[in-house]
Amino acid sequence: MINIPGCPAHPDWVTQILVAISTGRIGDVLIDDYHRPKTFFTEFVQTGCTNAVSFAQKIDGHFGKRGGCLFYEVGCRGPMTHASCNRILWNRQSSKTRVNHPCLGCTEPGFPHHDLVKGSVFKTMKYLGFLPRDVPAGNSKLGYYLRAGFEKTMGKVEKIVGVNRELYKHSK
Amino acid sequence: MVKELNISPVGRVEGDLDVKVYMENGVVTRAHTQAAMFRGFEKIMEGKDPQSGLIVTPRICGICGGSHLYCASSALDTAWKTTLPPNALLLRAIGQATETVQSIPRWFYAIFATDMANKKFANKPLYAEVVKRFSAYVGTSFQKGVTASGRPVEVYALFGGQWPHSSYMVPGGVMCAPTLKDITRAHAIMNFFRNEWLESIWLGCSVERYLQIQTWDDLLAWVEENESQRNSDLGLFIRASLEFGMDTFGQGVGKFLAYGTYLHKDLYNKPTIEGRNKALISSSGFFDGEKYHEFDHLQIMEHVKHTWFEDVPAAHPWNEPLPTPVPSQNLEQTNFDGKYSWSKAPRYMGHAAEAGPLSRVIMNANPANLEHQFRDPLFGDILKQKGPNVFTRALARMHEAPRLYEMINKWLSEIRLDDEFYIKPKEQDGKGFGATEAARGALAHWIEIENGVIKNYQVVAPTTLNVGPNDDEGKSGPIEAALMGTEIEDPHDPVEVGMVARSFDSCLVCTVHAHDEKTGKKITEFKL
Repeated sequence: MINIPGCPAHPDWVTQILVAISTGRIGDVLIDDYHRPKTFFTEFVQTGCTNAVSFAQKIDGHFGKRGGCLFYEVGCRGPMTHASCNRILWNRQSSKTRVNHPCLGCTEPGFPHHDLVKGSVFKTMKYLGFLPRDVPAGNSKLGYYLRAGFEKTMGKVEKIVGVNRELYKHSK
Repeated sequence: MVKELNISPVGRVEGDLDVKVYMENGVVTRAHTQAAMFRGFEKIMEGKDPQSGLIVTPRICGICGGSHLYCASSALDTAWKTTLPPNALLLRAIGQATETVQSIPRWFYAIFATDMANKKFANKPLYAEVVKRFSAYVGTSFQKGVTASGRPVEVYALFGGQWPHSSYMVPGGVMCAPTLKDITRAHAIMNFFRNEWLESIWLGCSVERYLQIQTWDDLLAWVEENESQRNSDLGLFIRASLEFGMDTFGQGVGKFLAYGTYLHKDLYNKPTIEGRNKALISSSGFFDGEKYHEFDHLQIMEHVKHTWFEDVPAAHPWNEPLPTPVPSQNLEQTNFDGKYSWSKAPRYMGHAAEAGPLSRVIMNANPANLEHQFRDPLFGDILKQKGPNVFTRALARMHEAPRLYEMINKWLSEIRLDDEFYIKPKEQDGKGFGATEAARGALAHWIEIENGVIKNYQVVAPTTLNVGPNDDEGKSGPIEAALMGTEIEDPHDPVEVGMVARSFDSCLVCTVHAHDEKTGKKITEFKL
């Protein structure tokens, strides 16, 4: 059984698997624990996200603002959601995170996440008001908090010493 | 001789709508529509985060998701008393309009026009040309039209990230902050859509020339003006519709409801329910067959006597409880004197009213429309000359494409890249109302927030308005009424019933069940 997740599933995820089968490549269709085809669901939504640099530099993004990463404040699940949205794009044009829209994690079990409880929609759920409850896949919580804390502190220092990282300040 | 006809499903895409018609001497004497699937979207949101509707409701429908989003964000705007920057109103309007324009060729070629290639019309002179162009999958225009329908939502994706199922409209504005290259690409895609289908295949003339048409006589003169217009898909559609008699059946209740849409960038920066009507670019209203009434959402009541929900008195959505389902029956076991559908029966000022593009363009012809609103007399005249029927309903839907094309370009050019796209609102308890015109008609959401969570959420979709069952007083819903009196040429292939249902573009797949009125014997059952 092959599961194609997503709400909605990208048309390519459905049709390209059908093409693979019809061209005799079923043997190349590897599946993960949830029976998702690995060719589309190995990497994360973050792969190919135009805000990936901001994620690395811990620069916050917000609605209506150019640049910045949506993981910190508005609940983006791009770093822990397996899907190829930012590699193959939607409607041949764009993706949620490319237009400042937090990834909702619709290809992962549990969507809509946190059961839509109060404070979970378009807000990053946090411990103690600053530690994200969900951390990027492949990180231990403690390891992530330490690395992110270091990056964030470095970012503030660099800003003070005048390293300009506000990419969009003079662009539109 | 009396016969019973069951049609299931009526649509071609998704959902479940069954139609049961009884026939006597080849004429439909009774009709019932049965929405056969419980959705429960309102129930899902009970007790959840107030913004849940932004994620959950677009998923009610794979083709009207942007319209649900327009309502969900607007309902929160009024409940939270947000401030909306002009850019946000423009980008929401562009999202709504591109979704609607997408639906126009997709509906025409994939859902509607293939019926014109039915053998019922085989003896008509234009039949061969209609078959050549509009036959499902193989017609020369079919693939081109369906392919072109994907273009406008590429523009939606530039601002919403993807279509369908984006949540980019949020209380206080929009998520995106487009750059110059997004705007220029959007113009280019729309231009491509115009060259690829709208002018070259559909109109056979420029958008500007088409929009000069003011009356039914103008339209007929336009068809005959030159070979290009006469032989365009629109020219052929008009000539064939009249030749095939598609203007002679499917009249319906003759009452029209539109909530209007496209809130003006400078007139709705402080969203209120009271200020909405005057801020609309495509006006709202209720036309009772004789005169126009100003739209007031408090006039909407939902009836559940014939719905598989626990009985409650007819009530306005703010005042009705979240529905409690009761056991349903399949079509064969359904007693149509009792409960028989999952759809509620909404009524406006006590009347069943038709929702859809025909209602919209009738509101656009209202002489009282303001300077910033669409002022287009064409369908005021067409309603007088032709009345509502399968043809005028389809023509109204297609009529919107050129105007919306023009508006999308205008709105794109009004976006100010240096200005705001979002103003963070303050969350609060309260009641909200958000509405729009989905491609297939009036759509609204009502929300009540208490203690920071959703206490009540009610959605009334255009399909609810159109496919709804009888109300508490036993009056038919709009599609039920439109089927009454329809002449069925071949009871084993009742294409007329499908055409009436599809002229409303109900977003439910439908099955027809034909029965003999006297014997109750089933004649045929098939999917359309």
